[in-house]
Amino acid sequence: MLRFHLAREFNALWRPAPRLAALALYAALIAWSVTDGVSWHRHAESVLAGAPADLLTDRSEWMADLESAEAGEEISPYAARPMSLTFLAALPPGPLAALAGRNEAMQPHTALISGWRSEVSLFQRYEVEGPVALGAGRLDLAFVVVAVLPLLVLLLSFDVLSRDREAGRFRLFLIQGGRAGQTLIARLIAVALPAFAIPAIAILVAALLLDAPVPATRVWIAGLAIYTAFWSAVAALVAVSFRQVSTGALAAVTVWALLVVVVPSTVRFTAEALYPLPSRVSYLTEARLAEGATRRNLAERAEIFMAEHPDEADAPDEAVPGFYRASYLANVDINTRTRGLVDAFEGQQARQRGLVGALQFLSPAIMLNQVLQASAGTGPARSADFRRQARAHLDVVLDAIGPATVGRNRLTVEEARRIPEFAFTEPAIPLSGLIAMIWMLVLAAGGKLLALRRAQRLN
Amino acid sequence: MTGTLIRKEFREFLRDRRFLVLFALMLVLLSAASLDGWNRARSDAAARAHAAASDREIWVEQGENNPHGAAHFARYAFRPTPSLAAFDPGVFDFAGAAVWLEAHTQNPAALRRAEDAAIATPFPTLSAAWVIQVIGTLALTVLLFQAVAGERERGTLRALAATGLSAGHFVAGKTGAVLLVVGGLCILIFLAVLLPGAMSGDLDAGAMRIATLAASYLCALTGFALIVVAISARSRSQSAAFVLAIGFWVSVSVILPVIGGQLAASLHPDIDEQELKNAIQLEAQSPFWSGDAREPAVAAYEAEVLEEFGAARFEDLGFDREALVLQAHEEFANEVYDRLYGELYARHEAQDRVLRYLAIASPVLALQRLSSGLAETDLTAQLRFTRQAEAHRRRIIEQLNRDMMMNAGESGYAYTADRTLWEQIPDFQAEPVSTLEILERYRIEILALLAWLLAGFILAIHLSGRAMKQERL
Repeated sequence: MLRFHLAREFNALWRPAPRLAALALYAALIAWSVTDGVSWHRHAESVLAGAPADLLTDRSEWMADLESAEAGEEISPYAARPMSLTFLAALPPGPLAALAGRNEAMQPHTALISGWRSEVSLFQRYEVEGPVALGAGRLDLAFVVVAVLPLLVLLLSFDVLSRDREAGRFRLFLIQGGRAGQTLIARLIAVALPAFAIPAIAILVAALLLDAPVPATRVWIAGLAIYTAFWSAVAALVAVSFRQVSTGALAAVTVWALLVVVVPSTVRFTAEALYPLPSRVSYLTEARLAEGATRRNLAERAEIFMAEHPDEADAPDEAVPGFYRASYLANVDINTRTRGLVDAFEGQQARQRGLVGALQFLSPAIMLNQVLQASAGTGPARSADFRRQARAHLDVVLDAIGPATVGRNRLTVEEARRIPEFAFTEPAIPLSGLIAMIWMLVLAAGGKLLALRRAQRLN
Repeated sequence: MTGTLIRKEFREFLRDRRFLVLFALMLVLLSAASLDGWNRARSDAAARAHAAASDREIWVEQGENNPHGAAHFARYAFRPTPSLAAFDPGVFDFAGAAVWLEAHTQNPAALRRAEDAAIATPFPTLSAAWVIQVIGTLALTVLLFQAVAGERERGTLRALAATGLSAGHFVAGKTGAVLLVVGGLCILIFLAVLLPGAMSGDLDAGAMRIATLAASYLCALTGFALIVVAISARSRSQSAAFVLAIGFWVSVSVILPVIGGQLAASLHPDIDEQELKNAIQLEAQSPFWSGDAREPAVAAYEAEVLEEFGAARFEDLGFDREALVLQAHEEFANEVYDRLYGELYARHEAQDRVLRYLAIASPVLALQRLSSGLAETDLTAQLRFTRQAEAHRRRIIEQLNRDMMMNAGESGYAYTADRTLWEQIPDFQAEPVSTLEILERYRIEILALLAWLLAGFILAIHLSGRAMKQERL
């Protein structure tokens, strides 16, 4: 019986031109977003693969020079200096970043780590992207799924019962033995199936093209299915609760606007208002103050540093330029002086994320957005992790090269070998994502059951 | 007759709980967004003012230094926060706040606030302008999609037609009520823009700017509302009207602005940062310092100096040649920067132009662009700042180089200056722009808004009239 209803509803539902146009627009948006995302992903990979080799230290060459110097051979005074050791910190695109990289262009994906850098200049990029295109962001699949899918589902199913009720056909339908529940389910499935299937196919195609891991793809498909089920349940509740088309329309749009636009924006706004971040401009000012103070009192500052590292003899090699020591000390002082601001910045960011994590259960759009970004390997949290790990690596490098740089020496071969390369450690996917999905599933099931009970009363 | 109809329609709006709910929701969102906007703008302006003052202090207190060493330590130019950024942040958070004015190198603006975002949401954080542009148009869609289609489906349109009511009166009644609704929204705009800023004394925009802003919103929202009425008149049923009206809203308010940005970036891709750095090194630095561009550049600048001081030979002046070479490099590199940054900014402007022409297809996008232009949070304002900052860099580097050239004598890089010189270096001052200049720049958007308004009037009157006629037959 349900199969009969489904076949009938598929035919009836998708015949009107406005509905077909809405579905075509939806499919076109998804095709655009995935095509653009995949090409962006490939571009990001090629940029990382072509990392500026001329800016990086050739470790083997550098080590060979150092070994020669340690063996007592004559080498250039500039060769194998600790300050010329440069490491690349790179953040590779996440497995499904192509599908959720809306604002990725804004975040740094590489950093050059060396004694010439402080934490302030570590991510100081040439900010050459056009602000207009950056502000608009990319239309990624995550946005289409989170924002457009629910609107499509609601738009096409808010009146599945009310249009017949308002026209007086519903009574006739019931007299002829029709059942409200079955009609409701059939009509909802007729809408939800293409709304789910089109992005699901797009996800699978993108996963195949990018060779994405199966677990991440599964999370996306599962999240998409649960989200579609949730909005289908909302549509069912709207359909059985309102007799008039106009009231149902208002209810549908209001629910969408509240859960997808207003609540997420308000949650973000509340988090940002409650936990404001220290200004980047203040960060720069502190760094400038530290740099100015160090450069003014360089001799005294170097003496203090050497007193803290008595094992390094000072000034054995007069050929070493003085600005090596000056730059190193200025960078160490900048890091020390701005540490409080960085901690405050990260603390406020963590509080903002914590608040959003706690309030995400108010909006399925926030829940899904967080899950999709975490599994795609994008988003501000991953970027913040990259910055933290790169800063930690800079500290390791500065600690390792400090005494030799200020003492105008070279590292020993042994010391140089102990300095590790940078490797990004992916953050774990938070457990709250799983809880959010279960919560959304419970809401979807509860909503559907409630709607079916009300539909039965209509019989 | 028309007045009676407008009053009747407006009374129906007021009786309609949906209208009151939407009005209350808008008011709450606008108030919250506006207060937060003013708060953020104030703290941002304070941080930038503090940074500018600190920059001066750090500069003046640097102690004795060689002027060229000081030019490398350099200064920063901070972009002031426009007061209307509280209302419409535009692309302000996506553009750099400061430019480093160092010797030898032109730098792009750095420190974009948007990089600090710790949370990703599908839509941007609330601003008063965004609430009106996106949520306001959604509210109008929901209120008006059934304006004619609802009357037709309920059979009241036939009854109205039977009373002999003319199509003109009917449309005037519907549109008059719409105008009242939109007018109410515009009053909210004034409240959102003026009250918190005026109460805290932060608002420094002129009356003409505010009036132009309000007129733009009135024009755009009225045009949008009339299009929804036209859609309602054209649709056979309320459901169809709803699907079409929401489809229109999604297309012009949500999809087109995002797709527009993406299309702009695809048609005019950004220059890669490393590519620009390499170009600067290869074209502005290497040819001078290790290539063959140095000699003619130095000769050209030397000729300028000789002409200025009326001397036959540079040596007769007793000036420092190292400093002459440094300034000659600046003169050489400035031409390269004019070209490289000219290309970069031309690309940004080309991206902006894509959205300008797309705005013809969307009253909301046209409004967004005009609004951020009037708030001075658009690309044009950012480029104006970066160009002014670069002109300032060139002035102060030349001042430092000339001091070294004229006073170093035989000392060269060993020569040092003190705070007397540092105090003579002027602070960066952004030059303001007039409202008329902004309107001149945004004439396409203004024309687009007027065209949408006119099209809205014509379509609403024509289609509603046709619906009335069909009911009479």
